[in-house]
Amino acid sequence: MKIIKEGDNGRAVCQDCGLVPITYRLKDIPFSDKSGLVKNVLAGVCDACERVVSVPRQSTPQIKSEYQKTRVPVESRVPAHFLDILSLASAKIREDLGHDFSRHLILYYLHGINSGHIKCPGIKGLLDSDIASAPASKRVSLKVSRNTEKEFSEVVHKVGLKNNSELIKGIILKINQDIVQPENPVRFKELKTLASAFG
Amino acid sequence: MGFKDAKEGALRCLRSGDYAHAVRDEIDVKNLLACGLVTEEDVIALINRTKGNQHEERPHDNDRSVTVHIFKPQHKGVTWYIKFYFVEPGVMFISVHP
Repeated sequence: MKIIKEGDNGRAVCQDCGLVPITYRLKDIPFSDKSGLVKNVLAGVCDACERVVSVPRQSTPQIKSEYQKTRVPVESRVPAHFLDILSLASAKIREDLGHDFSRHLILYYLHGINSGHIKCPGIKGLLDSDIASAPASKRVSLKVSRNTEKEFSEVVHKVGLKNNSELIKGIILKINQDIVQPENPVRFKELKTLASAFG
Repeated sequence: MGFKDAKEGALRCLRSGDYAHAVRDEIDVKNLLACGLVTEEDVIALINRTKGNQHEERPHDNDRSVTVHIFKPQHKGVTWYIKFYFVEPGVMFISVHP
């Protein structure tokens, strides 16, 4: 593999100028989904119009690292009482935990289900239960890393649900079943340890 | 350049690391190889499994003297799109995505 240096030359197709000579320079380049920006990355710049037209292979690790850091929304429309379930669960783990802990609780369950630590064969059934049938008037929105986004897709597939929205609802209902309803919540010691890491 | 030469050329460039990614002011997140979401080995495997009837070539929209190759292999029931053109010294990937 040829290592490109700043100031080296090459050729590439520019969207305005066609096939043109390019010069490699350090540039800031955004991602097309507007999720972020790669700063100071070596890129091929059109000699005629100065547009960024390429990135060499050697820039891929830097791009990958920045892309993994970008956050993407994972959302679900839920009945209003689903948010109450999350607040009740957080308060049961530790009284002073606010609603902010809900996000960590959902991600804890997501990762637990994916790793096999939390078993939930009935998650699909929970979505058809009486407690789930109410107008979806509120929204749960989590900004997550690309890795966590991938984990959502894996768990959706693993438990046989349709999408992330169904999975978030299923997890909240599982939290109700495991933490809110029982006198002795499931994995209580572990959840308290998680809460202590939260501050 | 026909299918066989395009396939061999792309594989050779991927193995030697002589390739780059097309950018239009922004890094196209549909280029999963550029974003590091698939590896060189993944793309080599996809190109290797591409058959002649899963290949198209057409002039580049921004310079008709440049031929763009489109490989459309099937993997696990999903069609992948691998779009690239040759420019010295290697290959320029436009997109790599299912």
